[in-house]
Amino acid sequence: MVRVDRLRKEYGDLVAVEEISFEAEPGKIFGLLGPNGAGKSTIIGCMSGLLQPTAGVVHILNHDVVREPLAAKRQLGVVPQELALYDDLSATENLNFWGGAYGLRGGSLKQRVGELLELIGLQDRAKEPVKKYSGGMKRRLNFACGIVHQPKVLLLDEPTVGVDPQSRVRLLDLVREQASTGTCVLYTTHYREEAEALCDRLAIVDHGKLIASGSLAELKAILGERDLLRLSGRFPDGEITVALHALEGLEVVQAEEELLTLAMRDASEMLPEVFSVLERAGATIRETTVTRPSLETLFIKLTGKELRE
Amino acid sequence: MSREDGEERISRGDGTALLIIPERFSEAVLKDEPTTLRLITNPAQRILPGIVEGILATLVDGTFYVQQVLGEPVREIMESTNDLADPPSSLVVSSVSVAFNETIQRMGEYVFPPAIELVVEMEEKEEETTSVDFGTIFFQSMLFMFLLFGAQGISDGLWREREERTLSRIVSTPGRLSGFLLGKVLAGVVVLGGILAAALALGTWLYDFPWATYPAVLFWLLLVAALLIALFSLIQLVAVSRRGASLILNVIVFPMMMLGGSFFPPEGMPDWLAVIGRYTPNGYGLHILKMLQAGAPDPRTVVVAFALFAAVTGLSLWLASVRLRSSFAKAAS
Repeated sequence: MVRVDRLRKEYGDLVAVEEISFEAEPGKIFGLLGPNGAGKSTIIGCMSGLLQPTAGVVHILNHDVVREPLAAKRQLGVVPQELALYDDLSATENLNFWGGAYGLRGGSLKQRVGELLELIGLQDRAKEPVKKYSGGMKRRLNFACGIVHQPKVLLLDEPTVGVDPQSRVRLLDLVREQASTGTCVLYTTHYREEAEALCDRLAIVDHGKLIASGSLAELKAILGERDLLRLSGRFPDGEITVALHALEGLEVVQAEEELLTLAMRDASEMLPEVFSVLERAGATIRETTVTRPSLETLFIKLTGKELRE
Repeated sequence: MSREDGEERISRGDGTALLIIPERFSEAVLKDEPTTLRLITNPAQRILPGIVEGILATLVDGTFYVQQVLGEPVREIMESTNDLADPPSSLVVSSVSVAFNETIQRMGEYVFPPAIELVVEMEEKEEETTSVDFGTIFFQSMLFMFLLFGAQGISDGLWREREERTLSRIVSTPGRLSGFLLGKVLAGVVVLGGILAAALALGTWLYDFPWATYPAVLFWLLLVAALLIALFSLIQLVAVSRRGASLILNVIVFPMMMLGGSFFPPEGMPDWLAVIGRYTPNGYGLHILKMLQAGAPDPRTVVVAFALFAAVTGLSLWLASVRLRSSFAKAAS
C-alpha cells in the first residue's frame, strides 16, 4: 500500500532523513515515533510531494510520488501538523474548498461535507468563521479537511499537538475509524502513549535514522520484558561497569559520571543487590527510577535519551 | 482758495485733489481758444483722486461739445452785453432763441432717438480650443489608482496562503499550482471587475462618455487588472520575505502611479514627463482608456494594446507559476 524505500533528504550538509525504509498496510495504523526534530515531518513532506527527496522512492498504491505525483496525490490525504485552514471562511466553506481541490463536485461534495460536519461534531457551528473556533474545533476541522475525499492513504503529522485532552480522545477515535474503513494510516507523534494506544506497527526515528521498527510486541521484545532502572548520583568511571557485570541478567545501557541506566528483569527485586554492588564500587546514589518495559524504555535503551528531550 | 493754500493742503495730505483754473478760462472756452486746466491729486490716496479725475475728464469733454454746438449763440449774447445788470435787447434775445431752436432741431434727428445703429457680429473661432474637464481626467486617473492598489493587495494573498500553511496543503492535493495561481488572479479580476463596472457606469453617466464605449472600456480595464495582478504576483513570489515583497512593490507602485498619470493626470504634467509615463503599464493603460472613451479609437492601436497586455499577462503568469512550483510553495513546508 505505502512503501518507502531508502528515503534520504539532505539540506546542504544537513542530513534530515537517512536511508529510511518501511511499509504500511491498508486498514492499519503505522506510527512514526520520535522526538521533535527527529525527521518525522520531513518524511511526511517527502511522502506528500511537498519536498523532493534527495534519494530513495516513495510509492503510494504503486504510484511513485515523484514520477506520478498526480496519481499518487489522488489517493493521499494529508493532515499537517500546523493548522492549514482559511480563518475567514466557515467550516462548510473550508470543507467545500478542500473537497473541490481533490476533485469533488456537486451533490457528492455536499453530502460528504454534511457527513464530515457530523463526524467532527461541528454541524451546529458550521456557518461560523473558523477564527471563532476553539483550538480543539480547529484541529478537528483540520483533520476533516484531510479526509474529505475519502483517501486510501492518510498521512497525519502530529495532529494532536496542543490539543486539550477531550479533543485528543475524539481525534484518536477519528483516526481509528479511518483505519477501520480500510484506509492506510501513517501517524507521526512524539507522544509514546499515543503511539502505544493507536498504532499497529511502529518505526522509531531519531536524528533522521530509523532505529527500530515492528509491532508493539516486537519492539518490546527487543527489551526482553526487562525493566529499566535509571540512577542518578556519582559513578566513578570504569569501576562501576566492571562491578555490575558480576550481576546475572543485568545490562548496562548507559554509563555516565552522573547517570547510570540499567536493563534487567524484576528491577524492584534486584534493587538491594544493585545498591550493594554500587556502594562497594564507591558510587553515590541520589535518585532511582524504575520503568516498566515500554516504548519509552526502548527509546532510552536505543538512544540513551528520553523521547521528550 | 488761492493756489498756494490748495497746494499746501495737498502737501499736508489734507485734500484729495486741487484743480487750478487759469485766468480768462471762460473767455478762452467761449472763443474756442486753447487753454489748460491743471489737476493736482493727493498721491497718498488711491480711490478718490481717480473719481475726481474721471469726473473732470467728463466735464471737459461735455464743455467741448457744448461749445462746439452752442458756442455761436452764447458768444453773441456775451458780446451784446458788457454788464450783466444790463440785459440784452429783445432783438438779440429773439435772434439767439432762433439760433438755439435751429441748432436743437438740427441735432434732433441724431439725438431723438440717437442715430446709432448697433450691429452685433460674432467672430468665428479660428481653431477649436480644447477644454479641459478636470472631473473627467481625474475620474480616469482614479480608476487606475484603484487598480494599482487593488492588484497590490490581491497579490499579497500568496504570502498569506504561505504563512497560514494552506499553500503547503494545496501542494499535497492533485490540483496543479498553475491552476491555483490562475484561479487567484481570476478571482482578483472578478472582485476588482465588479467594483470597476459600477464605478465606470457612474463615470459614464456623470461625464457623458458614450455608452457604446462602455463594454470595450470595461474589458480593457479587466485586462489591465489581470496584468497588474499577474505582474505583482510575480514580484511577490520573487521576494524573499513578505516585508521585502511589500517594500519592493511600494518602490515600484508609487513611481508608476506618479509617472503613469494615476495620481497627477498627464494633462497636468510637462510634455516630456507625460511621454515617459506613457511607457508604464498604467500610463499606457490610461492612454488607451482615453482613446476608447473618446469613442473613435484607432483600431490598429487598440488591437496592438490588447495583444500586448494579454501577452505580458500570460508571460507574468507563466513565470510566477514556475517560481511558485520550484521554490515558493516548497519553502512553505
